[in-house]
Amino acid sequence: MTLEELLDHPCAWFVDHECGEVAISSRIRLARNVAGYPFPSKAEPAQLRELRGNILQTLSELDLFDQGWVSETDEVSPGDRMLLFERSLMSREHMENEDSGAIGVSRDEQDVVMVNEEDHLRLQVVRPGLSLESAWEEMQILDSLLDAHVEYAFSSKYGYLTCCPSNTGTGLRAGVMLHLPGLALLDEVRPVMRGLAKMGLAVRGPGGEGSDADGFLYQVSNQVTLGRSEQDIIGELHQMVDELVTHEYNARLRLEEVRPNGLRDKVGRAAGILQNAWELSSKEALDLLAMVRLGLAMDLLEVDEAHVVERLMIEVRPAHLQKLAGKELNPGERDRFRALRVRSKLAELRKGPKL
Amino acid sequence: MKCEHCDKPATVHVTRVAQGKVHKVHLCEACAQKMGLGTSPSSTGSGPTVADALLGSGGGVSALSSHKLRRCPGCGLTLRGLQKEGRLGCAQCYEVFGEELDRILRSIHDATEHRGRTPGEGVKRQDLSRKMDVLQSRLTRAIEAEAFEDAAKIRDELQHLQIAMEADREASREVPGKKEVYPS
Repeated sequence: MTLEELLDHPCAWFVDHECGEVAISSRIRLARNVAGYPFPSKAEPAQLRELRGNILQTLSELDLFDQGWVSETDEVSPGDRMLLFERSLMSREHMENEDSGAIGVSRDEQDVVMVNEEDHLRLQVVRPGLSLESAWEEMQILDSLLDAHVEYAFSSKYGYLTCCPSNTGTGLRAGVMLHLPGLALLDEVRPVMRGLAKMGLAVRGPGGEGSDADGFLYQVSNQVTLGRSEQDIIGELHQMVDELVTHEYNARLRLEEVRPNGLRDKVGRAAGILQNAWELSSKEALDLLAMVRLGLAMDLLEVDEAHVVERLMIEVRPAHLQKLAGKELNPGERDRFRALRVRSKLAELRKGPKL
Repeated sequence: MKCEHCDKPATVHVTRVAQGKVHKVHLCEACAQKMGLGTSPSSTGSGPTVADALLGSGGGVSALSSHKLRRCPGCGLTLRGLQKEGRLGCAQCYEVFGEELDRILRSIHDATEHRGRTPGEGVKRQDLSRKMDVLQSRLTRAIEAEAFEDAAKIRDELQHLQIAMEADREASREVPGKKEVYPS
């Protein structure tokens, strides 16, 4: 499978899901190191390359990745690496490891193995919607498959040994990507974030630490990885996300009660700009698409094909646009091409019930 | 005993562990300070000092110094490196810096011991079958209450669980035979 074929599919967040849900996708990540090698920050380049060779060999023997896409990082162009980052298949740190990094992605993009990131292995499973439990079941299988081929660095006291003590133990980071326009429009995201932080959960933009929340997209994840079982960590996160989803629905109801015309106006204007603009920045496009997504979820817009809007939320990102254009574009060209892409996609919708 | 760098009397005795071997170094106070091994908090400037690290331990001079110079034989990470970077270099660091690490882990996780999955463990089959029982009874209740939309969702979940259990059974049978674990 080539990278192009891989990218022809909708991204794993949006496969077989219900459009417009507050919880867009669930992600489970495990940090693992291989016994006998220093962690990547302290290992010699030759050791890391040797390890990479072993892991790539293992991945090529697994149907899951053999039918997907496996590559050494330096064989992927910087533009394509950015593209993988935009689809949450590669972390920012991992994009930069040209020396010894590698990546394996399953055909459906739901299973990912990153080699020589901060730890030797970062395993990732992504599922659409709020499906932490099924993602965890899948992850246990992926973890067992690799465990059968390599010896993990593990201690009976500390559990899985990781480079950063914040991952020690289970090495588990479970996260849910949420669309929270209701809370954001009521300016209530910040207090909610503070509350979640007190419960030991982190809230951040979808690109990971330090990324902002374009398109009202937020990621909520666990902080504690040691002293609790994976099931407990995931169960508690699930419970908190359930509550957060209820908060978001309530916020939307309040918005409609307090400012019914204001809300319709915002949604309508967003749709209007997207259908008619000739230049759109990435942030503006994402924010407006998020508004339209909210309108669709609240039945304020009559459109059957909400998935077109959701796919656009990925496609308007810079690396995706350049892939679609088939060439590098400067920022000005990108803004014009983005507007063109959005206009033509939303024009298809206009043939249906009026947007 | 004389200082190894000058002829003054040695008052600082350092025990250094490097690559699994123990080396003893004897220095006077002045030379020790030059090497950043002073024994008073003010003697090494503004950076974290040995005394800071061991504050309240009441250790002698040589204990202080050896503590500071502790180095992981596996990857060469020093205690100072750990304190500065907040990251470990290899699996052995966890043994070498156990005491400091426990303090760090407690501040992050409020725990110092692992409870969870261990290598060699497949999907927790017991958990899965327990979950199936719960879903089965929810399904029965949903059908009784004629909540068919809910019932359909539960049925989907059950099907997914069944697939996971089968895959797990395959995995434990096939691994390390690898193939066929994932039917595409």
